[in-house]
Amino acid sequence: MEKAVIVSLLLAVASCRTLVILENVLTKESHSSFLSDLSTKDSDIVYKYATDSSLTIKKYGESLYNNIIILAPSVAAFGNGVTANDFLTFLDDGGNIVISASSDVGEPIKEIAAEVGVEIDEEGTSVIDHMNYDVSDDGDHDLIVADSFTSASVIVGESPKPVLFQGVGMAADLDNPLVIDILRASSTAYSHAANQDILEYPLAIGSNLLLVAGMQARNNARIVIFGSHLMLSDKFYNADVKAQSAVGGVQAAGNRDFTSNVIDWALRRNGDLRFSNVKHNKVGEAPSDAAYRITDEVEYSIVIEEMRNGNWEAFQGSDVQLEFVRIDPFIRAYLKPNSEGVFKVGFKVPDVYGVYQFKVDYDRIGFTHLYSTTQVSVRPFHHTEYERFIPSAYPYYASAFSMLGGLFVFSFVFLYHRDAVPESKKTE
Amino acid sequence: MVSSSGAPSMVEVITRLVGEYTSKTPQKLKLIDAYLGYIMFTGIFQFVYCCLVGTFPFNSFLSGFISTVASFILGVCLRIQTNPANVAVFKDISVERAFADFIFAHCLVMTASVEESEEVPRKRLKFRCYKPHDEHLQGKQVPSQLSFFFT
Repeated sequence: MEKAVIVSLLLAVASCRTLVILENVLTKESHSSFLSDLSTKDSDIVYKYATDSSLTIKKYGESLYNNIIILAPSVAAFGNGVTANDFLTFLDDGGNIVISASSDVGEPIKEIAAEVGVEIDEEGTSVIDHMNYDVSDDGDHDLIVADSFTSASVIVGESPKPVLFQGVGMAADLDNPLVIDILRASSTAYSHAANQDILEYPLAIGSNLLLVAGMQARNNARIVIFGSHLMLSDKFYNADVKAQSAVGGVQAAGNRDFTSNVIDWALRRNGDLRFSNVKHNKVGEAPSDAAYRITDEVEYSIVIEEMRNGNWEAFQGSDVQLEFVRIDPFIRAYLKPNSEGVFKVGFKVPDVYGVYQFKVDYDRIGFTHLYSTTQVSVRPFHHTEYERFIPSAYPYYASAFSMLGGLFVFSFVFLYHRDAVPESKKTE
Repeated sequence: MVSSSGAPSMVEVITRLVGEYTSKTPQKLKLIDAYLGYIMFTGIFQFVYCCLVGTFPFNSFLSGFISTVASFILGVCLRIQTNPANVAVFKDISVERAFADFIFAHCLVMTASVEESEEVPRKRLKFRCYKPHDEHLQGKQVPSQLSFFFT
């Protein structure tokens, strides 16, 4: 029994299973580059059609997959009775989801998005931009060139190139702080049905309009929603772009690199952090279980690794902080990494004893939440460790002993003294 | 000044006091008074020193200063009990008995003050050291400060 569990665990670790849900047979053709890129990231991919009657994501209470990629924007209902709730449970269990939406987005997709804090605009609407539409646009101005990427390079890569976009706009729920605006529309864009009079305020306009939204849940599960299904297609991968308002010539669309980076992030092949080997000791001594003394010089080190393209590598962040906390942080210091990812800092224990924690709490956009605490005691000076015979106290010592000496001398004087008068006094 | 009603002036009072003291006070009490004066001088010296230097070794200051105060009080007690004018009050207490009490009380005071004069905390709290890697303590509530006193 135990062996079986271990074997199944090993299998689960060895390959990360990805389920790709396709809209129909054509999707495999139109998105072949996307799917072939995906197969280089994960060797174990299962393809299913959205309406497949054997579609299952959970069996015997266990998720069958680690990641789900839904390339079925207009599906009205998934096969085998799978609902939006099943996908949300999958997310709660730690699975990652990638979704592509489009202007004719189906109800289940909208439902999943709404639950993670992203509102997809109504069916039939699209993102329109009369300034930044691509030169090959056919007149609706909904084939747009977007380049307002998030500043988190761990998600979109270093200096991503402008991408071609044609699809539906989204708005982030202001109450949800976990939503990440991976790609925003330009300030001149808005979301509306093409060629219709605008009678009501659109869902969102300008840079409030999201084209690609992401979210990292508190359990580090990730979900990415592309507003454009076409954005991932071969056609857009190989297109040339030039915004109408831009100067210069056409350039190759950045869709493929951008998508690949975002998928790497979504499948947790990028931006995962883990720590190990937490050590702390008095300067010049080996780590021990004994309590520290107030005002000791202490060293702390932690090894932090980062998942980069599916491999664990040394993390090199320069803004990792260590806190030495007793309810409130008494010390807060930057940890300095070396090339092996060992983060180190030395500091002086505060002059207050009690139970402390070494705490590293690193939470940055695009990275998983790194949280490490180690509890230690800080004791006061021992009886014998206090400073003794302080020079400025010598007068006090001297007077204490002079009292003693005075008493000694006085005793003799008092005892051996005989009054000359008593005889005369007695006779009185 | 001398008033017509015959009330003595301040100068007169003081000269008479000094005169009476030198002539009527027994030699033994004068010895005690000299001892008391010495103690008072030491006490004042320490207080002034503390005001000038600061309170840093406060234990030392307290022990030094309080030892002078205690010595002074014991000296005054000895003086009262050995004063021939008070024989009626202390019928049962001889001079030897009074001196023995004086020495005994001094033993206690001096022991305490010499020991206290070093900068060492007397109240040593029982402090349990929690091992940093104790699994059974990880994630559990940390004992409050009060438990130092109760353990």
